[in-house]
Parts: sequence; C-alpha cells; structure tokens
Amino acid sequence: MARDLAIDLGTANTLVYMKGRGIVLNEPSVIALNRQTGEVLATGHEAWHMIGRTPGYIVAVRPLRGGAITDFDVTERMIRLLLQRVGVSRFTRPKVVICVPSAITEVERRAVTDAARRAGAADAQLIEQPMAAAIGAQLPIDEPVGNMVIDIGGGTSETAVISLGGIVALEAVRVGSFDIDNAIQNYVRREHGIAIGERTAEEIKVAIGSAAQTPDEVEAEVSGRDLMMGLPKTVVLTPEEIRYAIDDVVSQIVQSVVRCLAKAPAELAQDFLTRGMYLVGGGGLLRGLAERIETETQVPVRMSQMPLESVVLGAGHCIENYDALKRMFMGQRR
Amino acid sequence: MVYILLAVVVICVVVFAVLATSRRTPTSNDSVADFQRHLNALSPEARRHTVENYPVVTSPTEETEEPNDGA
Repeated sequence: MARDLAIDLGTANTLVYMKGRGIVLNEPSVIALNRQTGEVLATGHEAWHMIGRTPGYIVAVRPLRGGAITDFDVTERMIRLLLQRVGVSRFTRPKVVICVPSAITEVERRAVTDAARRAGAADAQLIEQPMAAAIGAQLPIDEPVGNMVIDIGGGTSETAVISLGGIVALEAVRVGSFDIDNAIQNYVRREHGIAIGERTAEEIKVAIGSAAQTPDEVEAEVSGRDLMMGLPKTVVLTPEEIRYAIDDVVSQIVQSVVRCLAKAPAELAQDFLTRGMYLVGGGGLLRGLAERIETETQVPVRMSQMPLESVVLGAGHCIENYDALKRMFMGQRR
Repeated sequence: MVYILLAVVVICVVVFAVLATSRRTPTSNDSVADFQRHLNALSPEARRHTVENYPVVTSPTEETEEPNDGA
C-alpha cells in the first residue's frame, strides 16, 4: 500500500512529504539530460551542480519557470524519478497533493495533474501555495481573523489574506528569486562588462544582496568572463550596487503586497496591524526585505519559523487529513 | 393475504425512497458539521501533529553548498 504524498513542486526546489513520515525529500528542481539521446543523467543536487558547467552533449535544466511547467515531458520524468526515489512503484500508486502558484492557468493546472498521474500517482489534487504556506506556518487560519501570508518563491511571489480556512484576497506576480538573480547578472554585465553564471549571481545575492540597508554590510569579489577580452576578470561589488540592481524586482514584490492589502476587506485591517504579515519562501530570506515591506505598508512583518518548508508541511497536513480538508483543493470548493 | 403483502411492499418502497432521498440531499446540519470538521482539521492543535511530530528529513546527497532560492 503506497503512502500518500504532498509535493511542493517549486521553480527552485522540490520537497516531498510522505504521510506518516514527514519531509522525505528536499532537492533542487533540476534535471540533467543527454541532449542527443534524451536520457536522464542526474536530478536534484547532482544536476544542480552541473548548471553552466556541462559539456555540449549534456543539458541541465529547470523544467519549471514562474511556477509553471515549461517542458511537460521533462517535468513528468522528473516527477516519476522523485516518486521512485520515495518508494512509489507501478504497483503502489499514492494519492498526491501538489502545491502550485495560485495564478496558474487552467491549462497549466491540467499539465501538472497530468504529469503527476502519468508519473505514477493514483490521484492528483492541487492546492494554492499561499494557502499551504499559511497552514504550514501555523497561522490561526481556522479563526475569523485576517491572516496575511507572503510567499516569495523562485518564480512567483504571492500574497494572500486567509480567514476561516479560505482565501479572502489574493495577489500574485510572476516575479521571484530567479528574477533577482537575473537582475544581478544583467547589472554586472552592463556596468562591469563581465558575464557571470546564474549560480554566481545567486551566490552574490546570498552574500551581499539586500532590499534595504542593513548593519555590517560588506563588499564582495566576483569573477566572470570579460566581455571585451574574453578573459577571466574579477571585480568588487558593493551592497549599494546590488540593491540598485534588484530594486525593480523588489519593488514589484512590495507593490503586489500593497495591492493585496488594498483588496482585503476593511474589517480585517485591524487584524493586520495587530498580528502582522508572515513571510515564507526562500525569497523571503533576502536581507532587509521584511523591513522594506514593513516600511512601505506600515504593517509589521514577521518571518515564518520554517520559511522553506512551510508550503510542503501545509500540503502534508492536507494529505494527513485528506477527507476533512478536501475543500482546500483547487476545483473542489463548493 | 395478497393485500397484506402488497401493503408491506408499498411501505418498504416508501421507506426506501425516503431513506434514499434523505441521504442524497445534504441537510443544513450536514453542511454545518462538514464545515466544522474542516475548521477543526485546521486548528493549531491538529496541525501541530503534522509540523512537530515528524522530523525534517534531508536528502542524503544534500551538501552544505545548496541553492537558497524559494521552493
């Protein structure tokens, strides 16, 4: 008998929760393929280490962008491998709950459920990421009070107001951590004339990236390929430069939070001021982001205790209480 | 005798029809109970079991150098 699963199929990372066991897998959503034969060569961490460092016949790709499937076949193969790794076989077909961005289209939803069913799931249900995040972050969403959650992922940023177990207001933008990395790459190329890879851009973001000025700021050396000479070159980047480079992306995220606040019923405004908003997702770990949102909205912002695992834990709770929480699934609300 | 049998059959059919109808049509009590069950499953006590009872298992291949992006 297969144990049912909850999957946070993120643009950056994929987490799998097994009923009765907890989180059993946490890996980057990357797959490495042989370009000529189409064979899968590696997935997860192993494939992530290959990004930008592969010979011509290997391609390491992220099959999801903006929370949506960009390559259906590759995604199906990645899900099948993930399910095999957690013990699913053709004889044990589990029920699966998959977390998806709330803004995905009907076609994208069908692509996710079809990919999961073809990969070996007996049944695939979808749940919105901010809802799963609110459940996993232990917010009191069963009460008639306004709970606000901001989920900043690799490809999407979603803000939701939740009360009495349902979404009251929602705002989503297809902008996330990867767009911050891209902005850094573009800035370094434009201002310093060197090309850097996406992994280097991510390392810069983690090392000195910030959305608002923070204490103890340091500079960072970054090496790349000189665009004029084609030779390796090292430049020094300051936190101010990175803040300037990513400001457009950060502003889009902050503005979506402001729009969600404006959409929420007036009755809940008091709750936001007293309870604050909760930040989840890896993008929420960007230094100074909570302070920037707090400054621009005048609402306190708190960090979730487990920002990277909240979404899959929320979906895991739905799989543990499948019948009682059926109405949480997309397309099941009455 | 025939009339008695006929009456029993009619009564059985009526009882069956009433039961079937009552099961098909959800009463307001059903929907209240269902919604309450939904809220109870979302209570902090119910969720604590999921969040705290199971340790977060990391992949055996996980290394210190890993992507820090959102999921």
